[in-house]
Order: sequence, then C-alpha cells, then structure tokens
Amino acid sequence: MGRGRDVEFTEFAVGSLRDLRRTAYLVCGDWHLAEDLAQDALIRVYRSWDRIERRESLAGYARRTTVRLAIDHARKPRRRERPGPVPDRVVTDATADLGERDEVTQALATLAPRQRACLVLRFHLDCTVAETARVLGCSEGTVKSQTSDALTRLRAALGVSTERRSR
Amino acid sequence: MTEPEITALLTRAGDDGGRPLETNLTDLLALAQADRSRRRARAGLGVLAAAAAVAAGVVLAPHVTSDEGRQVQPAAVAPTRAGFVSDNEVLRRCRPDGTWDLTHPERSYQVGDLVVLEKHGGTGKLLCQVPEIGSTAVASDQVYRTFSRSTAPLGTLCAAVAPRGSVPDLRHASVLAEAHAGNVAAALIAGADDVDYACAVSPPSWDTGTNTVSAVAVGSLYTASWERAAQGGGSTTYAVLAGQVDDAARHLEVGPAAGPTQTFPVGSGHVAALYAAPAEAGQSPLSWRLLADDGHLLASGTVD
Repeated sequence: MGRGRDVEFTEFAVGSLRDLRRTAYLVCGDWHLAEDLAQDALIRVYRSWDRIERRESLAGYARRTTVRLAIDHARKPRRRERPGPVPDRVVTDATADLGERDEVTQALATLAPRQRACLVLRFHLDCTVAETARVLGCSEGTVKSQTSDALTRLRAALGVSTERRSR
Repeated sequence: MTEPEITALLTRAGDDGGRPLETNLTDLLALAQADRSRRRARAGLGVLAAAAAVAAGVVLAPHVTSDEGRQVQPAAVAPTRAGFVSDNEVLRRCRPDGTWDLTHPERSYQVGDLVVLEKHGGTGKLLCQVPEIGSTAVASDQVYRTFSRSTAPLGTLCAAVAPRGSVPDLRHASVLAEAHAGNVAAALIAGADDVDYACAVSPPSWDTGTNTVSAVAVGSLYTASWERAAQGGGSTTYAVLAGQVDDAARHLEVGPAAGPTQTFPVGSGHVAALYAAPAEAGQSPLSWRLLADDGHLLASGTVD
C-alpha cells in the first residue's frame, strides 16, 4: 500500500500544486504563504489518503482543505498584526496585465478573509452555498450575507481603482 | 457584476503568470510521510505507555497469595513480558476450572495482555489480564475499570471485546475519540481505508448492556441504544454514537425529540458520544443533530 500510495500521491501533487497555490493565494494574497498552505493541504491529503473514498474527490478535498487552512492562518494573532496582503509581482507578466491583476488583488485585499473565502469557494471553486457553509463551518445564511457584503465591497474597491486610473 | 464576471475576475487575480513552484516534491513526500509516522507514533505512545506501566506493575498488579494464605500487595512483583503465553496457559492462569474458552484464540498473548474468556455454552464472559505464573487473576470488573480509564487502555479494551472474525485485531489501532458515562465507555477506533470502528463497553458483571465493536463507514455515524435497570428501581437509557463526520462539525446533540439534550464535542471530524439519562415511560426515540460552530445544522437523524 505504501509504495503505491506514494506514487499516486506524488502524481496528484504534481498535477494539483499550482492550482492549490492559486486557490490559497486568492484567500491570503501572498504567493509564498500560498505555496506553504498548498503544501500543508497536500500533507493533509496524504494523511487522509486511505479515507478519501473516491479518487475524483481528491481535488475537491484538497481545495477545500487549502481554503480552510488559509482561513485558519488568517485567524492566528500573528497574522492579524500584519498589514493586508501585498501582492507579489511576477516578472514575466506583461505590464498592462500586471496592473489589472494588481488592482483586483488590492480590491480583494480590502475584504475580510472569510469574505474572500466565500468568493473563492462560491465563484472560483464553484461550491454551492451549502458546501461553502460546510467548509467554513457557518450557516448558509452567513455565507449569503458574507458573499453579498464581499461583492459590495469589491465593486466599491474596483470603482475607486478605476477612478484613480482614469485620472 | 455577474457571476461569470466575478469568476473571471478571480481567475485573473489568481493567475500566477508562470511563477515557478518552489516546492520540491521529494521533500514534500518525505514531509507527508514523516507527518503520518508522527501521528501514528503519537497514537501508539499511549499504548506503549500503558504497556510499560503494566510491565512496571503500577497499573494493575496481580494479587499474590502469601504462604499464610492472605493476599499481599505485590510491590516487589514486576511482571515480565518476555515470551508468549500459550492459550492453555492463559486459560489456566485466568480461570483454572477448565470451563472457559478464549474469544480470540487466533491472537498471541503475553503477561499483562487483556483477554476475554467465554463460558462454555456462551453463557457468560469475563475479562482477564494475563497474570504472572503463581499469581491470581483479578476480578473481571476491576480489570474493566482499569482498562476503561484512559484512551490507550480503552482501545485495548475495545480490541478485546471485539467479536471474532468480523473485526480486525485493533489492539494497536488509534483511539480517535472517546466518551464515558458512569460505568459505560464508548470510543471511535481508527480502522483502515474508509472504515473505522465504533466501540461500546460496559462492566462484564452487568446483566444487560453492551460490549460491542462495529464497523462504521467514514462519513457516517454509528448509533445504538439500550436500557439497563438501575439499582433501587428505574432504568437508564444509554445511547452510543460514533463516527468520522463533517470536518466543520463542532457539536453533537443527542436527546429525545421533546426533551433535554446532551451535547458532545466533535474534534477534527471525530466523535464518540455516550448519552445516559433516566428512562421515562413513553419517551420519544432519541435523535441527534450535528452542528457547526455557529449552531448551523449539518446533519441529523435518529438513534437506532
């Protein structure tokens, strides 16, 4: 079992690490931290490898675990002392794309971690309200209100950004 | 902003632009293996500590009969665990009257191990901790009390009372959660793949009660209930619920549909709950509710 598990796990990690890092980044806004969180999520996947009933559910389990870890990390006191997420720049990006992405990232940074998690789960991972509530350990009503608040703040933040750019 | 627009927005924000991954997958696998080993070792430490304590004679030292025929405390007796004891020798040391069989003759036993004996004809069971040569086995309920006191011994107890054949040898398995109510204990034992084991044990001397270990699929909740007449009249309703449930669950509520409930903690999706309350005439069936941190209902059902 061990050798087969290791091979299968490594294949899964190769195929999913980048996606998990992206998911974590959307919640935490820090690429280095995002990769750490993705690694932690994969370690948890390995821990539960025999318990995850169907292989096709591995990706979903890993993504939800990643979001959960990002939320847990945001709850830690040392995390609260830090300023909002500072987006890393990617040197290979085209300047225009980078500017647009930074705007969106900065807009996301104005949201509370749980609001970001709601958006990521609902619109990036395509989870239902019920699934999102289960991952975040809250009610469906809370998910709906957090999502609504997040969208309002996101629109406002992007509106401000647009104004500034047009000046 | 429409849903597709939000999705597109997030996709853009999460575009890593080809940023290279810094993770070394060989290192990650090693970390994952180490994490798994650590967790297994941590679970095993409890068992080892209990075994070491037994070896030192501090958990359950067998009584020793002196030349004068009175019982003395065996302070100087340190049971050794070197070598196995044959089945016949286990029976001779535990109950020398020749009317008992081992429930698990397929296992090997050493001094200090816990065994369950069944009376010929299946009319009774008793627990025995294999004593040293020349020592007398202690009373069955005393063994039960010792082995139901903390996590590792409770796992050992569950492994001992497990039925032969349908349940694997769980003597070295991890106890994921446990609960106690008076003289009854319940536990969730880690199995393999996607199956865990729910365990409920009560003192062997009880005329009614349960000593059972049942497979429970990961993601579902095992439930069982029974009543026992209490001394001095009345009776008590017991219910055991155990399983690996939703990670978001924090509490499990158990009680009659119209009546007070009892709440049990859920940690890392693992729960073992033991409901105990005076039985009342006409009481509605027990039901359970799995709740998230904020009281959000995740799942519910009735106790079988």
